[in-house]
Amino acid sequence: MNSPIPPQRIRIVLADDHALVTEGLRSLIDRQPDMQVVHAVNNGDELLAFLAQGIPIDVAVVDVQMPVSGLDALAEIRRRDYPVRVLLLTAFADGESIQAALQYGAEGFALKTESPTQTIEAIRQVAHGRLVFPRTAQRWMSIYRKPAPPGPELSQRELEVLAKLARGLPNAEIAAELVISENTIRFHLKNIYEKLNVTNRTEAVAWYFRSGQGADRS
Amino acid sequence: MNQRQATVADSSELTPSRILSVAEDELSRIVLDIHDGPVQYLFTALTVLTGVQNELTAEKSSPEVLAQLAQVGTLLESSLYEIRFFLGAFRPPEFRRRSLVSIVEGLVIQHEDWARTTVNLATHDVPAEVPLAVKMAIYRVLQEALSNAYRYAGVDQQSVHLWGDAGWIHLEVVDEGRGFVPPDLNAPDEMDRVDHIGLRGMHDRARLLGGQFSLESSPGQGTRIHVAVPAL
Repeated sequence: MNSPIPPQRIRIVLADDHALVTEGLRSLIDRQPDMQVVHAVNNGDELLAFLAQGIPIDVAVVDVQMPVSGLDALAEIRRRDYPVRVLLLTAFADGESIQAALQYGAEGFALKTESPTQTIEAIRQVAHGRLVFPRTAQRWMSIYRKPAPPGPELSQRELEVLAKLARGLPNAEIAAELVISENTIRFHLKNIYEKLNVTNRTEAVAWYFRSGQGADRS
Repeated sequence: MNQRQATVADSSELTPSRILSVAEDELSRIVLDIHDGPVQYLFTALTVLTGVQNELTAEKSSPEVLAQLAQVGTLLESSLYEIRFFLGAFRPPEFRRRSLVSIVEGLVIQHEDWARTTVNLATHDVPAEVPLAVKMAIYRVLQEALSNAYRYAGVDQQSVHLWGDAGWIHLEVVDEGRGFVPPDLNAPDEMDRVDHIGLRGMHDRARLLGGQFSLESSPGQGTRIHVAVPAL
């Protein structure tokens, strides 16, 4: 089963230069019992300025094709280490967009050419710590030309945590499956990130597939 | 006099690279127009409709009205679904900014995602800097070759090999599917047939850049397409 619904609503910021889209999404999201739109902005700069205020946000839903692109904003969000998960929203289901989402470390990827209910569900999944990507994204990680850096000595336990992370499980479920506490999972993740020289879950999972550890998965 | 000079000057600039580049730029503009208009409107319409459906369901409204709204929703979703494939197929990747290998990888991912097939990709010795026209030609040839293999070969696996050698870029696309009797690539009458329009496109793109195109296939023996273009 999924994790229990958080005690408070999922706090969301919307970033899209199409005002119609943000209004529509805001109205649909605000009708969900477990989520609320805290703020909406028109471009990447406004998104960064808003996040800089430190208002707690769980998920940023970010259009890729807006002025100061969603990808540039995402890269800056990672550089500044803002504690927010990012769901990229795009109309382009092409390889370039999927590549970019993975490379820039988004937590998920939703399409404007699919039903908005899927966007809502993707927000929910990302808020619960899952990675939401098309099936082929995992395969791409495994063929990505950059070889995995050699030699990071991961312990058996760290590899187990990483394997479950690669399945898209949130911390709570990894903890439950390994019968250890969430704090311990966070401790393992911190060590894994340091050893792999990565900064987020997506990059760690990308390393996992590139290293061949996940080669048996489809 | 002036007009004639202008014409001569213009035609001298119509190099193969320029023709390809203009065509891709035009496509890019059309795709962006569709993206910025119809896609945003349809997505928003569907968003608003979903909200209304949720409210009416909660209020236990008439089943007939709900069924009609569901039908509207299905029509909107179908429109978006069809546009999705158009956008994906025709949107040029960022040829100027990206490397040839990255562009080819992106196309492979996209094809796997749509066709639910596996493409075994191998790349080696591809120069970091490749002329724009070469990137465009390789991209469109690969797109056509993968699409053909998916539509006609009847297999769920293809192999793509991209490599550089002695100033040339080579692309090979192979499947072990049902194969066919290939037309004579040098016979204009055969190549003009509608069912060979894709092959002619691949052939012409390679030749436009001073390159070569070859096709090997026979019934039951799979298909191998090889393109080589100068990288300079």
